[in-house]
Amino acid sequence: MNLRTLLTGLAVLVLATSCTAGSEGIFATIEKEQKVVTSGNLNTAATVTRMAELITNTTTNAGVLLVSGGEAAFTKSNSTSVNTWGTSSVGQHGNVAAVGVAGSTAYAVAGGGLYQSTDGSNWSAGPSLAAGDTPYDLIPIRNPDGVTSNKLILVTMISYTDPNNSSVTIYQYGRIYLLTSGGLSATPITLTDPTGASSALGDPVISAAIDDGSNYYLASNSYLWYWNGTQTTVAATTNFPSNTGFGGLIYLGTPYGTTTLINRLYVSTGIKSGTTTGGGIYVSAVTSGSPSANWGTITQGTTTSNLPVAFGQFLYNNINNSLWIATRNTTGTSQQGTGYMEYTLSSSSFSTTPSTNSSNYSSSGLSTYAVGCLFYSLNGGGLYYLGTRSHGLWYWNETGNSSNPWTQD
Amino acid sequence: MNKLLISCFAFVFLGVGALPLTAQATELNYDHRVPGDRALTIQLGPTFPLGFQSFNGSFASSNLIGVNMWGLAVGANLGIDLDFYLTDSFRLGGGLRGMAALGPNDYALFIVPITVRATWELKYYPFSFPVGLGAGFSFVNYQSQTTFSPTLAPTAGAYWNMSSSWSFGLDTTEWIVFQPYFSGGSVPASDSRIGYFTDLTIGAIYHF
Repeated sequence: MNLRTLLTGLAVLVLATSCTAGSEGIFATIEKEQKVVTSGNLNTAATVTRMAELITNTTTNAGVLLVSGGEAAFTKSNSTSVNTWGTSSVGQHGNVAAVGVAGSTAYAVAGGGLYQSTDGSNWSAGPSLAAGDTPYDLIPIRNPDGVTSNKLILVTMISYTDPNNSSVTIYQYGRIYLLTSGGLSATPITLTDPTGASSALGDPVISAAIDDGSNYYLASNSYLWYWNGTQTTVAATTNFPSNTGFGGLIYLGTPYGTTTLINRLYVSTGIKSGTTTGGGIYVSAVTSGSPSANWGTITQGTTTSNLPVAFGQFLYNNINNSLWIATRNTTGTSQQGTGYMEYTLSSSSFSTTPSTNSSNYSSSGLSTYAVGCLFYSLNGGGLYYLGTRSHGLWYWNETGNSSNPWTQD
Repeated sequence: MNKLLISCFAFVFLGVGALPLTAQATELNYDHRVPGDRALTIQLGPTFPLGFQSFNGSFASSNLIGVNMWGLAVGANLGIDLDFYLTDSFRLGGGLRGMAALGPNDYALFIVPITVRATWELKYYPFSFPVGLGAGFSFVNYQSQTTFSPTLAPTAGAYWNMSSSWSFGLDTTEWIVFQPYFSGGSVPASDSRIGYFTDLTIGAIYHF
């Protein structure tokens, strides 16, 4: 055996190591794998930032409720059966960053991979993405009723090798795709920012999305967009703090016949980068599919007003005819918070001060928790959920103690 | 009388002459090896997963034993080696090992290394202390994934040579399993890792 034969043999053997049945490295898979914790109620220290509902019977609204937010995903089959959470097997692939539902398929981003399921129990690899795209987040696109979510925005990360160090992989925010009942969009949504730069990598950190029937509204890191399916436009944002992160979107449309405040787009914003201000809640009348340039200000948080300045998701409370807004605190880490705020909607005006209900949860201790998501579940009869970023999941029992309506689930 | 003297002389001569032969035979009963001698080793013991290291040098603490409960559990291994002595204290051979350890959710990680090994024996009668280095490849399987991974395995042990045929002792082996992935493959290059596993085994060597 001469040296060339020996080296060739070694090269073949080394290359054979890439012949792997699977899409993830084995040791990397184990490294990312999180232990699935089985518990009656959700882990009381869990982070909950995403909820989704896979309705398998549209007549009875029977289905599966999914929760995720940084560790395992949890699931249960009936929202009114409290403390009956099980763990989802998708968590075996690693941290479950997000869950969502598009059509009759549930999707999850776990351990850097995209997985799908039609029953909430059995998960398989999701649709393939373009080379270099790593799944990062799933954002539900809510309909004007604020509840149903049968479409998703898939946000990806782009990875590439550092040109200065071939052993280092660099990640950056990547592209956004549309996930519908028909599957994954073939091409990413291209955002064109106001400077004229057209790139799929323009501003892909989407925090919320809604569909009013003619436009999709996307709240991103720097801009509010509306997208008609082929083109995106930056919505006029007069009166908005500049360069802030948008946190939530809700479109109160015609389903809410109890109020004349229909066709209003509400936007919440986070903290301006590098400052402790910038958060607020804004409203605009929507006509002919586009929001008015003149946005009204409902509140702007400041560090001195004892109001949170980072606002997140919205949820319409049909029972109280009010709007809930998730909040975070102004100081410290992003895990801190002040619970949620509630604004009462009347037939002729929108209250500009939080209703007393905002503080009803204080006795339960929820007032000190940052809120990761708000969700209404149709399944099993319907419950309002509040997911915290550090203290698990709570449900709203409107028939319970009015001074403490939130119960850990 | 003469016959008696001759018999006594012969007895003394043969007896004295036989003593060195007996002593030499006693020494040969133990661990003096010659080229061509073979040693068949069977080992059994626990396997300790130590951690995974990315190719840029960083360790994932989540799987280091004693640091995080979510990592791999202590597993077990069973191995067989066949070596050929080239000198009294040096042997070459190869081995097959099977290791298993449970992951965070009780899925079994299987590693089957096939290695060739060079072993030096430091001898201090009736004990010997083999020190060796193995190199080869491992079949690694976890759930539905399987890889064929380059492997290094330095080893050290201590054996008591009970007889010329049997030795019993302990070994410890560090299994260094490389999983390189390359750009353009089905697995991203960022998933490249080096896995470290230590096994501690009781062993029996049959010399023949």
